Amino acid sequence: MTKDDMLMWVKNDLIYQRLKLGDMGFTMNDIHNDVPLFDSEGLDLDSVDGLELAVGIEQKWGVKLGKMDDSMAKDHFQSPNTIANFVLELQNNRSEGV
Amino acid sequence: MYIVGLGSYVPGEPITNAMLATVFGDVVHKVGDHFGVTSRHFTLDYQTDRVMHGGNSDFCVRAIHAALAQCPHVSLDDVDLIISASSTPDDNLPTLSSVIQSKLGIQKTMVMDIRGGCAAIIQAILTAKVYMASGLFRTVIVTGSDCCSRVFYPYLHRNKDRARVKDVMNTLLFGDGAGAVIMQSTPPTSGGFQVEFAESSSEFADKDPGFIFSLGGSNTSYLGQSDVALSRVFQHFPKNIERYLQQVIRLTQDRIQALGVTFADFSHVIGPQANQRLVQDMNERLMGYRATYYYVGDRVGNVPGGALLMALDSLSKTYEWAVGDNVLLMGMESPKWLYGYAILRRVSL
Repeated sequence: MTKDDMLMWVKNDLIYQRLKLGDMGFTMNDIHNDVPLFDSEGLDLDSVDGLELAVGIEQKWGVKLGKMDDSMAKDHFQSPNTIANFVLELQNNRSEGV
Repeated sequence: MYIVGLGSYVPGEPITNAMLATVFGDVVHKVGDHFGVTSRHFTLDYQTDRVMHGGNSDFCVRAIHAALAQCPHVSLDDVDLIISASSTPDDNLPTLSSVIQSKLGIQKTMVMDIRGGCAAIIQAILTAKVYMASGLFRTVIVTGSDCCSRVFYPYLHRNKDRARVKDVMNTLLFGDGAGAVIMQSTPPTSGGFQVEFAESSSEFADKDPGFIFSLGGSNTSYLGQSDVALSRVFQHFPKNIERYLQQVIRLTQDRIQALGVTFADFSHVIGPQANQRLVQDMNERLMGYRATYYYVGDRVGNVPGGALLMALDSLSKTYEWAVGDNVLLMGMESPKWLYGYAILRRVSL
């Protein structure tokens, strides 16, 4: 999967549809590649939304993310872009047998 | 005022995350691990939805009988007042306390319901204390309980393929159970606690809620609505919990310290449950003091009305009390940020 394809999945399927952001007045235009996810300047998601994203990734890609704590959120869940990089990295590691 | 009998009840065997994961998938582990809940008890069979162990009033009656077994000198005929604290009564009316009265077979007594979350049991104990201090009553039964599974589980089970983290968090972290105390104005000859002090207050009513639980009411009638989603019944606002819960804990701590008491004066602090972060925070606050933080939320889930008495009863079954041991019960709830606490002192072995 290309980075662009992964970004599209993260923004549309994972964030917009799974979190039902349309019900909260967001449109896909609000979800650009670098929008802060948990910041009030961005989508203002909460910790339970973060868990929802983690479960969505695990279910779709068959990977285990480990504990969804502040460190995980800060390192990998800052924006759609960082999530896409993280999932691609997990996939690469898996295919390399790491 | 004294607690002369203490009992609790949970329905059936513990239902583990692994058992529920066979129905709802790995999301149960993810949410359970995050919030620190490994099991809970349901009156429903989690595979068939069948009611196995009755409802809220039945839990209370069983907890009351367990408490009465500790004080054989107390007869049901002695009971002047029954106070129940719960957010999930069998029905809106009749009141839970009057159903409990009926099931206990008490012909004449005063009954009173307190509707609330984790702080409600403190309000109930405080109310009992005030009535007894007035000289009006001498023997009072106080119950704290909740029956959560019958509210949400059949719906969640029917919609298990669509279950999201929020649905699982709002439901499977909750459990069923009850705790009960028999209170009297005269000290017990063995066992028991003196209720040295109890206080409850609401000082954050203008703040946004951390949690809303609504089965409908006079403002929001669900009558005739065929399918009310879980997301409407349970609404969680984690950012508000992160914003205000620490303030409520600090406020409670300040109130206790204003009495000239610190955590060093307690053998145990029993507090709210089903929140791993809160437990960690409490342990950090207690570091260096004698007191140990005790809770059972990891094993029984969140049972808002029953939590504190269920934990006190669980502790009493494993801990060897010494005369003079002090226990602090701390209740706080996120819907309107009420808090309450009670200081109990062991009076005899």
